[in-house]
Amino acid sequence: MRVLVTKLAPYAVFVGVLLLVPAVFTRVPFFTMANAVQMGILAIATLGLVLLAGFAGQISIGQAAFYGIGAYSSAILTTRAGMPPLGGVVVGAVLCGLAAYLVGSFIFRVRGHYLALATLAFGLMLGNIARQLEITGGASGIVDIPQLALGPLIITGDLRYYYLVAAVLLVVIVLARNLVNSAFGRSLRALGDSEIAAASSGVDLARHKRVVFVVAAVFASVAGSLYAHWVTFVDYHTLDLLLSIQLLIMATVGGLRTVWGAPVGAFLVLTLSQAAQELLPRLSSNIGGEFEIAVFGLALILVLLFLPSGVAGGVLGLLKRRRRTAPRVPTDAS
Amino acid sequence: MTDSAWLRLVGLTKRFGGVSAVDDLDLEHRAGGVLGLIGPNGAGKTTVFNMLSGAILPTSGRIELDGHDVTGLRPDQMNGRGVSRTFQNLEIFGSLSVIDNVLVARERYVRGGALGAMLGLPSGRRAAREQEAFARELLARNGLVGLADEPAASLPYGLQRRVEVARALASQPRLLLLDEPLAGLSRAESTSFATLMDQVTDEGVTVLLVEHDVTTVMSVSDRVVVLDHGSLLADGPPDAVAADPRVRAAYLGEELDA
Amino acid sequence: MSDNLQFIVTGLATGSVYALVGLGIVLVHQVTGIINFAQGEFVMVGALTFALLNEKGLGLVPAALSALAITVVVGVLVERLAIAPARKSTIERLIILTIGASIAIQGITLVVIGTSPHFASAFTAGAPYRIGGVVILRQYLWVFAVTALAVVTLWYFLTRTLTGKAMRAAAMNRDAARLVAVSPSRMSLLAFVLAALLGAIGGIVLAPLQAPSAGIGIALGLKGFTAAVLGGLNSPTGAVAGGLLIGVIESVAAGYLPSGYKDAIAFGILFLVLLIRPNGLLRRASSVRV
Ligand SMILES: Nc1ncnc2c1ncn2[C@@H]1O[C@H](COP(=O)(O)OP(=O)(O)OP(=O)(O)O)[C@@H](O)[C@H]1O
Ligand SMILES: [Mg+2]
Repeated sequence: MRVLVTKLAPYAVFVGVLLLVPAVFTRVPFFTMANAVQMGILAIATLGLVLLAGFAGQISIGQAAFYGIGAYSSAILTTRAGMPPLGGVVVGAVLCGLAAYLVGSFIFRVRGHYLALATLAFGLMLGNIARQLEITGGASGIVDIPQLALGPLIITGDLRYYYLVAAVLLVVIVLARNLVNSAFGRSLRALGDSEIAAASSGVDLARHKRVVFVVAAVFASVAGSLYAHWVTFVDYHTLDLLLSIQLLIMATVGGLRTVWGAPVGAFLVLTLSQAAQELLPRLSSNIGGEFEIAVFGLALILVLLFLPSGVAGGVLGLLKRRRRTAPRVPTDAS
Repeated sequence: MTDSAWLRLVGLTKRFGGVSAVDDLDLEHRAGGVLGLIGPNGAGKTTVFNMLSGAILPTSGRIELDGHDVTGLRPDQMNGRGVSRTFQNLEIFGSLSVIDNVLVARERYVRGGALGAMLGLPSGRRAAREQEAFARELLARNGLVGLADEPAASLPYGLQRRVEVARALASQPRLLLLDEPLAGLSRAESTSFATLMDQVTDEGVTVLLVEHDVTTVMSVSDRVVVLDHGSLLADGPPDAVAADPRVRAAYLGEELDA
Repeated sequence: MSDNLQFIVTGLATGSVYALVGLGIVLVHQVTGIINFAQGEFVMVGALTFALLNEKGLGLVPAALSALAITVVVGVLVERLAIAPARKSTIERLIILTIGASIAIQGITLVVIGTSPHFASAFTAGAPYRIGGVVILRQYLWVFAVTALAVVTLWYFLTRTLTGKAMRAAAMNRDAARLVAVSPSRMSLLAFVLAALLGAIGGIVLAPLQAPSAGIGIALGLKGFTAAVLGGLNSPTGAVAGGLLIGVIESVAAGYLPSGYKDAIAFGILFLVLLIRPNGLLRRASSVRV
């Protein structure tokens, strides 16, 4: 019984926070529910990157490519093939899974950090192509993407959409935590510590990295689809390098070695970005987006140097330490 | 003799740039017992281990195990063939607990697939409990009782060495490669090592032991091979090798007289 | 035919710059294991500083020397402030740090200098040479000469001087290097300084051909990666060959493809080479493969 409680406690806290968000975001002038939706969507995309960079020790600078594939699949299949929105979500996820599987099969044959370069090239290539092709709507993109519907219930408005996104976020977090806490996840952390020792202990490095890369791609794709059906419009900016980097920043700031790093990172980075957009023009009329880029770069460096486990990782570390110094109570399962 | 060879290295060579770390090495060994591998610094001992465990590819030559050519297999494939190892410069999984370090080597026994794990399917749970019991017993045998749930990184050096040996044993290897398992350990810690070697070889494991502490190597090995500059300098029973004037000249010198 | 020749000459000129960028990437990767995503920004800083000073009326030599100095300072800052303090961290974190450094440099440049391009005059004025139907800008000759000089000097440094040899030892085997008293920290700093120098040189010779702005770093860095990867990421000669090759391919292909795809070519090549021959087209497969 006790085991079950400690197992479910983190989820209970998280659900509580998710439910609290609308109350806060609709009252605080600074935030809107649209911010909350965006945070949720990007948290889903970031989560895969946390698994990839934090647990498998591999960097992708092309997560926006998978996000974009999801968004475009939803857009193209619903507007041009008359598919229901859910079809677009599924097809996008499958496409991304396959693409990641293929890329991973090649890239992980050799040791090194080639994935960072390959994903960077992949993302830029797709962005370039999406801008040229007719099926992707060229430079003007695709408009009038239908809104998501669950059966007859069309999910309109930012508040309803937020609940949907929050539910999906909860699901992917449960999936990710299950993975991390399994025997598979143990091997992942092991190879993050020492690839050679993990391999010599029987861990198939290529397979493990590939699986995580596929999971990361699928999560990003789902996030992209959710985005497309929310704004009902996509263009090549969804595949932008800047988004890939933003996701990487979210993962790092939130914490690379805990799944909670994804939602925490998405919240913090978007808040920072929102603050920069609101406050900076007031300080001086001639600073704008440029400043944001500089701030992000510096924030990334500062976090990596002074809080290497990220904000969520740091907080969890503190909690753990406190639990340890507290008088020990028997914690047997019985 | 040739037919009973279980492990066979044929013309095994590894060059790094211009340096021949291992040079045309031929070696045959029957299953069982402890084979000591000694030689001065840079003789190529670790490089031999690296090739045997699949960490690096030989420049040329062949490795045969139990009649199969295993040259060029990956480390995890070599592990699957029954080869496991420890590392000269400790390669512990620092972010895992002690028991998890050992359990990594047992993953293949609980494999329920990544998808099953994500969905939280209960299929692998019984297997997982069995593996945990196995791991606890192994820790006990290696003098790590009560430390199972400690973070491996927090242990003192000597105990980390034991964790590595336990992890290597967890794969239930047929060939165990130990690269300087006693380096940095106290005398007392070294003595229990002989007992461990007896236990392991009694179970039919073949041990390849690289160790600078010559006295221990001579006392636990059934056969000793001396490498120098990547090639074989001497080979035979410990006393014979210890008495070999070339070995004394090239390497052992004073140490043996002591 | 003379069209193709023209594309090749133009391609060799831009390819020379890519070669320099690629060389910087290879040096840092060899010595530290880090893929340095800030390399393109070194080129940008060099080119932009040179062009700005040139616009202000500073002569070729003082403008170039100032640009070199400023870029080296940026390189040292990146290494000392971001990389060195995290030395014990994992490689993937160090790589993320270079990404942070890259956007920080770009953002700060945008804040300080703005988005607009700046113009540098060619090193020597005068009409281009014409050989057959091929137009050769005077600046191309400068690009070739400076690149050749930089490559030869670097080669001399790495193979003939004690520090250079130590650096190669560090690249060969980071543990072994420590044993012969080569400090990895000093070697890392040296690698970043050289990378910044190479980037700045590339930027300075490029500036008169392509008016630099704060945003050019990303694309140039990518061409540098492509050059480096064509050579296997660990071979200086491979990077030079790769840079020239990618310059020519890009230039020739741009002559035949719709203009929108020009950039996609380099990305496509980078992607395919990584998938099929991650150890480089120009090199035998590496023996380490864990
Ligand atoms: N990855 C590598 N790259 C370059 N040279 C290497 C590499 N690994 C080993 N060497 C070189 O090969 C030679 C043999 O090294 P090895 O580590 O096998 O020796 P060893 O017998 O284990 O020495 P020690 O007793 O010091 O552990 C040495 O000259 C070493 O510098
Ligand atoms: Mg050794």
